[in-house]
Amino acid sequence: MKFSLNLIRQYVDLDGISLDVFCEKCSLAGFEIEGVYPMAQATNLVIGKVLSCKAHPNSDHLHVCEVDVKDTILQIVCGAPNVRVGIKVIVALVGAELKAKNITIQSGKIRDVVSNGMLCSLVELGVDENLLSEEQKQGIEILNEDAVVGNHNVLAYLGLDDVMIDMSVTPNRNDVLAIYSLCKELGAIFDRKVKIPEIFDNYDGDNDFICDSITDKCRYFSIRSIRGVDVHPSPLWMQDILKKHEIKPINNVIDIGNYVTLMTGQPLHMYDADQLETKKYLIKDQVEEKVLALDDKEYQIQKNDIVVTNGNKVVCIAGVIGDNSTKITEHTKNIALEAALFDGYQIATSCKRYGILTVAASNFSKKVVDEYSISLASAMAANLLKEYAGAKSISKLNCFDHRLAKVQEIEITIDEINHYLATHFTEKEITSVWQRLNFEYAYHDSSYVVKIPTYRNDISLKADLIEEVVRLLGFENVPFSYPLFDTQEKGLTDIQQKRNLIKNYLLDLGLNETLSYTLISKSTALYYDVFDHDDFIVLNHPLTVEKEYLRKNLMPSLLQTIAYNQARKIEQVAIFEMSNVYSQQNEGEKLAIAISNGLNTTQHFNDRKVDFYMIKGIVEGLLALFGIDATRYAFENFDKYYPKQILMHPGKSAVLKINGQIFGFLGEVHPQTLQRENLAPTLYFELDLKKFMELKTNKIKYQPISKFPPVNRDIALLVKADLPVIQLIKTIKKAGGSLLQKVEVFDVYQGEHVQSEYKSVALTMTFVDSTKTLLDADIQQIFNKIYEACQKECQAEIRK
Amino acid sequence: MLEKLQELKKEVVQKIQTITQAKALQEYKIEILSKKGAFSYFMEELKKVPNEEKPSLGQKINEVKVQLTSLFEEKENELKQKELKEKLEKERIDVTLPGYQYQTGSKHPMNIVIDEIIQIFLPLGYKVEEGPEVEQDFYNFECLNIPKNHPARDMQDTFYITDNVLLRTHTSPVQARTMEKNKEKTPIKILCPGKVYRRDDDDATHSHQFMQLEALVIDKDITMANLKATLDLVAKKLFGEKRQIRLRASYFPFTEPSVEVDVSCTCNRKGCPVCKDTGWIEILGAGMVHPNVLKMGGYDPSQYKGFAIGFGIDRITMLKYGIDDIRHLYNNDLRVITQFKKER
Repeated sequence: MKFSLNLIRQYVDLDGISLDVFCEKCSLAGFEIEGVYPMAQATNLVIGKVLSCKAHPNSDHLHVCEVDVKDTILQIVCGAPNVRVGIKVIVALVGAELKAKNITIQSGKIRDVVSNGMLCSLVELGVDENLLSEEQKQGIEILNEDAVVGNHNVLAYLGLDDVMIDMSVTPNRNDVLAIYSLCKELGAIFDRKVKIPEIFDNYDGDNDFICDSITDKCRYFSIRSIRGVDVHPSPLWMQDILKKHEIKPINNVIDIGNYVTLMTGQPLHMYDADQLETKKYLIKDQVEEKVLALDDKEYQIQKNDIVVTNGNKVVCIAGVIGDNSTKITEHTKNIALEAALFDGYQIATSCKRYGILTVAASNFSKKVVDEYSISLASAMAANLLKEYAGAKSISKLNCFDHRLAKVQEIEITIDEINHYLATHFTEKEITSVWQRLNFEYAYHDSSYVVKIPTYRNDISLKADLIEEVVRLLGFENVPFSYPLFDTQEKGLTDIQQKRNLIKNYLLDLGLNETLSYTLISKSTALYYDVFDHDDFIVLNHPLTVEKEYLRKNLMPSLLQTIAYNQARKIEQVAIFEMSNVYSQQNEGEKLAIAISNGLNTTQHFNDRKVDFYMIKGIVEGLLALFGIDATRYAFENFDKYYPKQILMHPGKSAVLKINGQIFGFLGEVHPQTLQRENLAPTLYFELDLKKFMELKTNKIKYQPISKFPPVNRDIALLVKADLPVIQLIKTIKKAGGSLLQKVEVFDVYQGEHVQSEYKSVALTMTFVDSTKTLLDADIQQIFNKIYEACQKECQAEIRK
Repeated sequence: MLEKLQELKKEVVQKIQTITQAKALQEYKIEILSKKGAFSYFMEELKKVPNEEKPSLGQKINEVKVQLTSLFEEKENELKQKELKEKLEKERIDVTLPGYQYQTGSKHPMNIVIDEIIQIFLPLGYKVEEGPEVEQDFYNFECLNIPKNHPARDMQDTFYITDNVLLRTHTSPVQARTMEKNKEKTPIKILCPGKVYRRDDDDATHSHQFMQLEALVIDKDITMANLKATLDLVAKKLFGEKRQIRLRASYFPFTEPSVEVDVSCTCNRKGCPVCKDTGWIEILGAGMVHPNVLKMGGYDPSQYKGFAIGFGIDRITMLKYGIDDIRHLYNNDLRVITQFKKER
């Protein structure tokens, strides 16, 4: 909220408190000051009178003026169109600083004529242009005749020596959005006296209006009849206050209503009594009709919206805006003044649909209203109408009242307070808090019974009172002491440790960790939706179409991250991310790796291959790190499982199967997808991390190493080109038995000297026996067995 | 003959000195020392001398042969060394060219900060708890003392999926779930890190997705002094031993009293743009667990108390490293991320 410091000062004594201290203490007490805005910023001003005003000899619009500033008469060149003899003006003397325009006034010549000062407009003093008329914005400020020439305190004279404070209010303390409540709060914070004028209900006649409600969303409704008003502009002081608080002055009657709302928080509504059909008000919430409101807009009332009716007509959308036919006009003579209490939640809900949020609606929905002071607000408005609108008579208040009698009392002991805070506050200190807050209390035997004023609807528990104590006495009084609890280290869970293991492995390889958005666009979500039949989770009211769907996999995020970087000339992008993914059916976690243009390659040394086998190698390393040995996993062609897709290259990608189940996929990204995302060739791997974490890892079983030397034998086999090498290896391993320690491929060749449709696969086999040195004859025997198996099972022939 | 022998020796010694190529030396060695070489003449001559002279003469010839052989070997070695030296010189490389790359990657800066905070708390016996990001209204709001139509719901404009399912607006629902899960109602000490979401347009200071880490303690004798000491510890570990903390009253529906926590600025209260000349920088929110939250979680507020600390990881990361735009934390620009290589 923004408020005028001068207005506050009228009710709470803040003398001797600097602006800095004011801001700091408010912030410490829970009201952060977000900005301080002086109404005007100018030094070295004086009120002057224009004695003469002649046209400038060298200009068609400038004037040369002689200005009396009491001590002397200054010659000042002025360019304002409204300068003339006899007016009283604001003079910025030589040396004056006009901060808003960043000007320091110097004596000098303007088109060869000496000028010693400047005649000012309010704009030049830094006054917000929204507060000024067109006339004021165009020319210099012409002061009233009563202005005293030579008065240096110009800003005070103009009421511009004020500061607007922008204070953030937490939603539990919306009570301070009313100026009177704010003053009480500031009085408590600074321990200063607060003088809120007492309001008396000075009615002098009977009230022929009656009211009733048939909805429980109106717990109080009061009406007062005020007769014989004169509608004209409100007093300047009131207009000034309203303008500073961003309320547009209209006329005395309406301004008085707005002023009372500003000060008390209580929304009021005034009807032109002569336009009402009957004397009976009835509040309803089951009406369906269109209402032309006083802002000339039509609003569709639906069931549940609260309305005030009179006769057969909706005369007010309750707590929001009045209807057009009963509004106050310049001809209004007699007024029906409403002060009521409507359900804030309903009003907020209705307003969202109407697309309007008036001050009244805002005050109801934020619970600014003190429900036990409603009649006082009505009386205050009535009194002001008498004083400033010439009201001839004020009737008694008639009301419908279904408020719950609620005066909260909370019992709390000094020990309870000190125990909670670990403080040593004394009775005297704690009592002072209740006094500062204007809380009535009874004290007996170290125990208080505290009565909570009705405007403090945030307080209902002991903890709330404890907060008041520590807030006003200061958090610096709370000591530091470590909790005395069991500090045995529990450590990270198995899954959390595994996540760190993966992260460190990938970081060590040179991959960078990313963190991307969960929400993606529908079109992106659907494009990447080939891996399952789960349903997307979709926001019901997205902010933008770009962020509407929850991602089911990380592929779009990582690819788009690569595109983002490559668009910025970071060509080599190697990244990974572990993030949750979502569908209607499950919340999972995935690991994704993407490598574009290489990993740790430089342009100078670029012989490291960036192909399928790079990403496969990384995956195999990860599997080994988790103790999942090759007997448990397999890589199979991706397109066998996902035949109609354009995400992965059909021939250069694979699914990863562990224990016969698909856990992820890897390979080169499909050229069409590369093109869609505007990417260089990219490798991608995605793993169902949640499932992966649940896998049992192989236990380490130590194998003693043989004392006898291993022997290597190479074999080159001709096989059909489409035979997966893994079949050959499996066959060899099976046939090789326990003496075959290792089989490794060292060359795969197709081309000259090899029949087309065939390839030559060269392998090295390592044999070892733990009981003896293997002889050639032993090895030849196994070798023959292996070859036979390869012939039989893989149609392989030894390459000659 | 002895003169001739001496002459040969002299000649060979001189000739060897002039040879600069290993091949020429090898040829010359053959010319002198091989069976058909220069020495064969002396061997033939030796056959002709009387038997009694043979041993002494033979020994002399052999002496010279041995001398020359070692001379050749010496020269061979010298030439080999020279050739190797030349070869190595030809192999000289530019040591200023960059090496093959074995650069490690960088952790994401926000995860660096999360891990750092976890490392502060783990030794104190805290556990890390996780919870769903797609959350029920009940856990996200109701359990945390934010019933429907509570004004605080406006503070956290929410992405709803259905009327009762939403993207969590804070990590606090993990509190509620942990309390509920703990059937024995024993003390709790947990950290809950994770992603949270609010209906905000993305700009330099706002992000619709951000990171929080919440610390929650529930035990029998917890006081506000315990919260304050814990906050002080964290501030000093995160920002430096010389930092101080300051508490300001604030409001969160799930804590009472609630505080905003400021850490003293490095400008030492002299004023600077980071602290906007106040000397203090807001780092997080905290408070004593609200009695209603304890009650909802099945804990008796007259027996148990608690405190909660909510770290805004984005804000702390930005402050700690001087990052000026929150979008840098989500763009995954490698020019940003790779600056954090040294932090693991």
